[in-house]
Amino acid sequence: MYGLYFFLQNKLLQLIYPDVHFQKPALLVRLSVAFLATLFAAVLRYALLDVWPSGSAPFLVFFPAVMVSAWYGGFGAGVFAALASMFWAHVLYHDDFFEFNFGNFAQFLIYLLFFVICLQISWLNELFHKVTYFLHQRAKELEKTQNKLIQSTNYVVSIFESMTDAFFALDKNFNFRYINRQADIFFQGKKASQLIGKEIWKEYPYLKRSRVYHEMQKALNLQQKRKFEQYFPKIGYFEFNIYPLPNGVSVYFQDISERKKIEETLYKFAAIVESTDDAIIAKDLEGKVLNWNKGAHQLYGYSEKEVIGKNISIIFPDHKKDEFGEILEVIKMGEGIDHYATQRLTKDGRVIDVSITISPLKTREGKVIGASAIARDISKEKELERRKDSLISMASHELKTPVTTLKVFTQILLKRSESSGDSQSKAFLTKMDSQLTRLTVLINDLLDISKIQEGKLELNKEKFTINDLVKETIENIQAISNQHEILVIGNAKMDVVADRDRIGQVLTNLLTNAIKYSPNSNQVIVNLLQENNNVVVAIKDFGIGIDKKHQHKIFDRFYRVAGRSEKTFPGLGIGLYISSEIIRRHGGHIWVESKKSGGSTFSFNLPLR
Amino acid sequence: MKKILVIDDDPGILTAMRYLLEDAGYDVNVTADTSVVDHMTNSTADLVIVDLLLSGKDGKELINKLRARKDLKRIPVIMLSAHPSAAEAAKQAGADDFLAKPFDIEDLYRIIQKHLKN
Repeated sequence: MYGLYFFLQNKLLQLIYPDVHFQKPALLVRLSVAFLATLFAAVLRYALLDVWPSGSAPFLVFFPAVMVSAWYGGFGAGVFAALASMFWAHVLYHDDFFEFNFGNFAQFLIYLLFFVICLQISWLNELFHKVTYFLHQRAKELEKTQNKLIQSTNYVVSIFESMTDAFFALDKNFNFRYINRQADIFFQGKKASQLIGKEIWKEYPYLKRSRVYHEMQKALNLQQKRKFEQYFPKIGYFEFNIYPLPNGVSVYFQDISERKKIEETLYKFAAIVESTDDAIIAKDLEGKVLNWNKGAHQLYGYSEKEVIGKNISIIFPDHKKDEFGEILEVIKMGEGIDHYATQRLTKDGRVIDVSITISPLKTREGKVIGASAIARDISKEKELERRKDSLISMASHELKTPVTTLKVFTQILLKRSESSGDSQSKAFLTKMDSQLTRLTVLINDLLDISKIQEGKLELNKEKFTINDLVKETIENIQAISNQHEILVIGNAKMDVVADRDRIGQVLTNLLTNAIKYSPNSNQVIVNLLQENNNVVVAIKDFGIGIDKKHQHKIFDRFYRVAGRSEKTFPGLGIGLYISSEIIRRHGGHIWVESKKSGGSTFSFNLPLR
Repeated sequence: MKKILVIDDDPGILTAMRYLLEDAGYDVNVTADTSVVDHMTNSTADLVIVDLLLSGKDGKELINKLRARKDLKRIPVIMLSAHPSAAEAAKQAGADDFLAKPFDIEDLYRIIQKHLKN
């Protein structure tokens, strides 16, 4: 019975207040409902008047009406219904409406009693509504708070889950309280759900034997943060960070095996850098020194401490200060400089010869952030070079001195045989003289080779007319041998700025070659022409020619074409090499067009002035 | 007869030079002793042929001595050398002309004539 009552009450509540807000219906509605409820009760009572005489419990039917009104409309509505009920009762039980007599004390008492009871009912209803409303409000607030809490917990959990660090939390007895997904990997296949609530040392006894155990004890007991690295065979290197909690610890850890490997590699490289005799330096784009190895200390005298953070320009001697900016420009373009011979200043003021290789330092994205320089002391090499130079000069002097004496005596005898008419002596002495000239040329060629190799072939440039030089050279050659007619085509005067002696040397070389390699012909043609801004000199012979496969090599040092027909021609194979170097140094170009047994044309060009 | 003084450290060359220049009709004096300049008068030689020498010092010193003396500074000096790139050094030393060893005697005759004419 009671259960049914509460069920109905709940239903009614939901019906009346679907939002559970204590909002009373409008005043007019409330009063109307109260009025209609009492009217209904009055009508019902009137209908039952025959079977239920008016004398007993006159207000009984009105109680439910008041109850409903108070329930629906609260205190005010209940009071209104009570008054209405009293009105209806008066109408019902008294034939004459104005018959009411206050003198009838009993009747008055009944009315009063009814009204008091109704007041009570109304007040209780009002109270009930208020309490219900309050409880619902509290319930709603609680739900909101709970939702917020759930949300923020989810957020924190999602942070833990998304961390790259593995993370777990233990209570003060070292039982797992939380394990994130990354940590799963470390716990060898056991899921977080299997481990929560279990003691870490029981699950993983090997951890108890490791440093992890002692560090966790310290973190918990001393409430200190702990950080350490630990190696586990088969699993790898891990870095642990333990943070104390009031009632446990939280542990972050990370697999650092890769980092350890890189560190090891870096360590090895650092050891190489430290142990080498070469100076290895790193600097930024302003020239600030970032790294300075032991080799650099030995070479330049500055210790690492003295120089880190300072500008590299301190090791540039005054006459090389310009290099500093030039090098930085090259580096900024992302390029390097290989084996560049220069000079540097040491701490004690000595200027030393060094060979430097400079490379840009780039980030993974390719941005240039600085430069590395590897420098080597080449003072000894330089000294050796100087000695070699003086040796070559001396050797050439020593060779030329006896040749000079021979040549002078030969020419004296030649003159005397001319005046005495001894034609055979004259012929022999002429041959001797030309052989001495050849010997001189060979000595000079060898000297030139060493000069070219040292990069010391000096050019004394002057302005001259190339046509005159060609004419002069031809005259000199024909004075020795006039078997060939040398024809010059192209008479327009052309001026060049070049080393006259060196270009004469090239012409002599090409013309003597043309004569040497065309024994069965009697003509050489020299073509002088202008092409764009260049003078082109082409020397054409009608001799043995050069096979296609040898053509690109004949300008190489010591290259000689070996073949049955070529063997008979003497030479060191250096003339064309020297010629090509001389032309190259003038900014010109030398080339050959030839066909085996079809003659050759050697040409070179020079910038026209 | 024009007088020519030849100073060189190589005896072979000195002998050769003597015959060469005598054949051409000059009064020739040859010596390997560089101190000869100290005893020179303006009648000793009309022209001096000197080797730059290996050290590169002696020839230069010799020219400097000649140039330092009022009576001798107008005497033409021709420098000879077998040293590579000696032409530049000779010019710097203040020689009137230069000839690389080994040379052609015709070239030497031509240069001597040129400077004796002046």
